[in-house]
Amino acid sequence: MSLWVDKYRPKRLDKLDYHTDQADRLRALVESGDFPHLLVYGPPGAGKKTRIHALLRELYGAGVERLRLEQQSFTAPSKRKVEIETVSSNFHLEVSPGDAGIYDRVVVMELIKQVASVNQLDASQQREFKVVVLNEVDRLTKDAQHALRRTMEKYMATCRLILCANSTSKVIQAIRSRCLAVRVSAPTEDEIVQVLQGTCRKEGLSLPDSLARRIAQASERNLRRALLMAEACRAQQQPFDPDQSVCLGDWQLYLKETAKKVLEEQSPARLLIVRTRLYELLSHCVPPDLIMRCLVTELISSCDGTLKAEVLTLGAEYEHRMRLGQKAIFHLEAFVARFMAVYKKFMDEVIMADW
Amino acid sequence: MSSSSAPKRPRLRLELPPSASCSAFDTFRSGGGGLAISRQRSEQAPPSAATPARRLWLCPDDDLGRQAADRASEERSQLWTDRYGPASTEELCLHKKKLLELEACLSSRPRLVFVHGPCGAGKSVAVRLLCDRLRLGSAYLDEELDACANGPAEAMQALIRLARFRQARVIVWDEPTLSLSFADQQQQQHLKFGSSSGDTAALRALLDEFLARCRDVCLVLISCNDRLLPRDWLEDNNATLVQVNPVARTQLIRSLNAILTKRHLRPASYKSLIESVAAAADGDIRAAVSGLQFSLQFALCTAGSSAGSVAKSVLFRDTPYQLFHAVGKLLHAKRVETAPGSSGLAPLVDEPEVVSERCSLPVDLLLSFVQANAAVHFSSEAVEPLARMSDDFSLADRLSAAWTTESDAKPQAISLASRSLVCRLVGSNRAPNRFLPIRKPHKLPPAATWATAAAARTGVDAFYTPACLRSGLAASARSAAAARSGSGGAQFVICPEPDLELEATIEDDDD
Repeated sequence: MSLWVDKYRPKRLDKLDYHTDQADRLRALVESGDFPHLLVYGPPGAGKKTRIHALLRELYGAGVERLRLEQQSFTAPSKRKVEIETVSSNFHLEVSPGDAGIYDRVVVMELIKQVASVNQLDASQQREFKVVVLNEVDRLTKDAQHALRRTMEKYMATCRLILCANSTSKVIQAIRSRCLAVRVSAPTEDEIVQVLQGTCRKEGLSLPDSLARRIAQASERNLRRALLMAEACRAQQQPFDPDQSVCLGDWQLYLKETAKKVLEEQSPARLLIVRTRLYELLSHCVPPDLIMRCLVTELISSCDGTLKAEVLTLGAEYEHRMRLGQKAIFHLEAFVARFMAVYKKFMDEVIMADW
Repeated sequence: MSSSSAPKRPRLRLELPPSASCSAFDTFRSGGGGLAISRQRSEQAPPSAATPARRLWLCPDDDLGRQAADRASEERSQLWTDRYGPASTEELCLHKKKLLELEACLSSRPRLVFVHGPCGAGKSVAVRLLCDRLRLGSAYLDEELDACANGPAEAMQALIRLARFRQARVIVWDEPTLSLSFADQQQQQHLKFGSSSGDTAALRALLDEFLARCRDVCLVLISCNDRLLPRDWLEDNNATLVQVNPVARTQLIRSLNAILTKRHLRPASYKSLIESVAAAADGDIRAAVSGLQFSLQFALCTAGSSAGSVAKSVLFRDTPYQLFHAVGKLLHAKRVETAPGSSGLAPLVDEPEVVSERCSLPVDLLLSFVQANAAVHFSSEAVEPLARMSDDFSLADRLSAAWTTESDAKPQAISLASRSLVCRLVGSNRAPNRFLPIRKPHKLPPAATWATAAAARTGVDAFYTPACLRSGLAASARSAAAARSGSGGAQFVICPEPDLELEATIEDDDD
């Protein structure tokens, strides 16, 4: 069994379900024979990786899909060994250098040097360059990004980079200007409904339209999440029922409960409870900005209208700091604490007024 | 001040003639020096030369003079810690009860005794003196071994030699360490697990072997590292643990006074010096005696300055704070006690900046620890100050983050955060005093695995996968893992966490 997300992932640019004119442009780019470094960015679940793989397939043919998983190790200047997993085919190499933590600079430099210093043997048959796909460029340190900049220029003859990021705000200007930026925006709800219907048809299931729409709404325009939800619905109930409940991800329910706990009581002890819950979420790889966003939405929906503006301001402030800072928990906790203070003051005033 | 030690030092004592044409001497005299003779001066002056010199006294026998000089120089070069070390158990700095405990322990001769305590608490001397007094037939391993490089083999040889051939019934091993050769280290690598490093594993292996081979010997290990040997290992071997505490301040002062008396100095006139030396030594008798020697010589050279200030300037020991202490100091923020009438907040005992400097830990680490422990200290009503403090911590993290600002702002970050904490944790904001353990910040999976290669490739979504799909996935992940080893195809399986298993399959299909 493999997940629908992986099973029905489009493999070619002309099989893509949405953003078709962008796909056409990408195809034209490939057909012209050469292309600059690419910076593909967009929200999670929008189809960045799908597009990158389709592009690679367009470039090199089916051989790109014969992948191997390798463990490479590099030695940092401080004699420390850095190990990192790479996925590669004969034509490309994919890596998340952010996994190496503060040693990402070494990984970026060594890996690209390694790939780029070898020319393709049979240049007449194939492209004369290889492709290196770097995931999560926005998680790279500034150092590594500067290293990347130099490497990009040096090995332009034998190597193209495709960078993949959620947002360009943490990518330095120098890299942004050296790349062709491709923004993959999140699919609209209609598009998600279409994809869901199509997938279910391939599975031999009929998905009621109202359920598809509800799944699309709950997925917050994240196609991957929508597909996972649809599959979870299938696992719950074999023939779909139009009124069946859409099961949210566990983390979403957990966050809802957390928000409820914040609203119930405002005290340092409660903050500690909330902190352990936040840690629980973080240690399950839920991105902190997502936690922040969901938490703000949850809290806003159940607090008085006069507070909403202030809470939103706080949320925006701490989300910004979280992007610039290092330890997400500091900012999440600061937001919760500030919210508690604001909310408590408001409630006290309401009680006083009632008296 | 030079009255007592001066007669021992120079070979002869001369009073130079008033007419001596020595400019240095002239300046001395004009400065109102009276009788002032530098040692150098007296050696240069030939004993019988200066004709009109009025001899006060000359050593009748030149040999005698030389002997005295030798004795003097030997004495000068000898450390006071050796010279005035305790000669009997009565002179030990150890607390009486502790001494009794140690004595009882040694005289019952268990297989293994582990004496631990801070450096300079008097562990080794106490064990030695007790063994001598009790006539236990003790031998000292460190006399058998090289000062530095002992492999496990040499140590074992020495132990067996002492136990078998010298018939030692108690073997004392002070500061047991082994230096491993490279090959041994390699060999020890596989023994290494947890936090215990290779050489303690080697030490354990050595001790195990020795205890198995020599059954009638009492082995006494002395170390200032109480985690040298793991507790469960010690328990397994029925070891008797004796913990020696740092020497009490009063005891330190008493011992220092005793030394002064031996040097024919009046302790009362050096009271402030001794007190500051004892304070600086912080329970370490060795440091205290060396400190006294050093500062007394210094004080005798610079006769003018007051002994107390000398001690302060020279002797202050810059003890680094442990992480635990630093966090405690920041959280508890003790203030100087002031008169009840004075207004405003009293100054802090430890300035936060100084604390962070002296613990010399990475700012991030210290901040994490303080942040993890701060919230507990607020009283249940103090939500607003807590919110303000969290806000400042968030700002501090923003400052100390390496991404945008360089590391220059790190001191400011710790300053901002800790000052904010200190000024908000006052008065009724602070929870009533009770025991609060210092906790480690919650350990996230290391930044690297945050979105491991795996989670990233499937899109950070480990937690997104609904629970009902996970069991099926786990099963298929296992089968795919089995298949992968055979097929060598384009399948790979990723297990980011034991309970959340994901699979990503890329199949070769050309449709």
